[in-house]
Amino acid sequence: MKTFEERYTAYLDGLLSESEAAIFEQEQPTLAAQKAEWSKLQRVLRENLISIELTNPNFFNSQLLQQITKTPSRNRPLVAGWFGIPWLAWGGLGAVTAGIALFVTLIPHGDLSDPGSGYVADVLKTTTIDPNVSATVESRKGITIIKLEGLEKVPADEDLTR
Amino acid sequence: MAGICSLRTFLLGAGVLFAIACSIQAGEAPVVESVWGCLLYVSNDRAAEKATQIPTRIRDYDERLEKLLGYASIQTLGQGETVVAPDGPSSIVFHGNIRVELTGLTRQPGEHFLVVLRLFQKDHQLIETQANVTRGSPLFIRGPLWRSGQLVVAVMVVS
Repeated sequence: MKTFEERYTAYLDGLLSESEAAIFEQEQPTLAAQKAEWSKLQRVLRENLISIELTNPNFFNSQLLQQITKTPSRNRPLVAGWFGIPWLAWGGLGAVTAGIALFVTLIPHGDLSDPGSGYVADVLKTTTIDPNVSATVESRKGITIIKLEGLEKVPADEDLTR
Repeated sequence: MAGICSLRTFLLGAGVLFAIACSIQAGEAPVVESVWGCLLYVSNDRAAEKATQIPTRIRDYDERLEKLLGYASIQTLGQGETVVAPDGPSSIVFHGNIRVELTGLTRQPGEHFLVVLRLFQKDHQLIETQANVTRGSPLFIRGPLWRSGQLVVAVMVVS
């Protein structure tokens, strides 16, 4: 069962069969006048509305792009000047380079697995006053010791722990 | 805009201060240095083996020391630290009136130190030595015999 709106639209568009149209006109006596008005309106529209060919098919897109280009970006002041992305990148690179340079120059480096690799103890000069005492220097990798010979023995009963 | 300007000024000021601090730190050598020393007893006495642990500062040297001196155990008898000032000698005194007197400590290029020290037993000077050392590198002096072993003095620039 069609609704009134469906039948009315079909009637105005001339899609109803003759019998259906006759029944619908009997039900709605003012339909014939309304259809005549509708036909008149269609004719007036057809006669006066002419489709205009746009010279620029991308007119709206170009207008939008123009507006976007003209609108100032909020981030633009930060991008330019001292705090722009390129300056930050160069600053970061400089900071990393400075850090590496400080690490190389200030931090002692060597083979950490070998505790004696950074060991330096060079005995330049050794003198003993007592002629009975002699000193010899023995240097091995990672250790230097001066060995004194001819010293008097410390008494065993002397407590050196207190 | 004013906020960005003030931030920029703050960062510039902080950078200048940091650069000044770095240049002062890098260019000025410390006037005084600390020297640490300890008195060790090396022996083959098994009873003394676990009596006192070797100080942490020379713990890495225990095996080399034992090998070089031919003893199996190291016992710590005492340790001390002194600040070597340029105006006079400083001493580290151990029990038994054994002392190390530091008469000179000069900073050399490349974080090296020229150290002049004397070892005394009571008032008797045993040795005077001049050595080029780096910070954290102990210089060992094997001293007199005691009991069944020998006394060893270690001296090291620590700061």
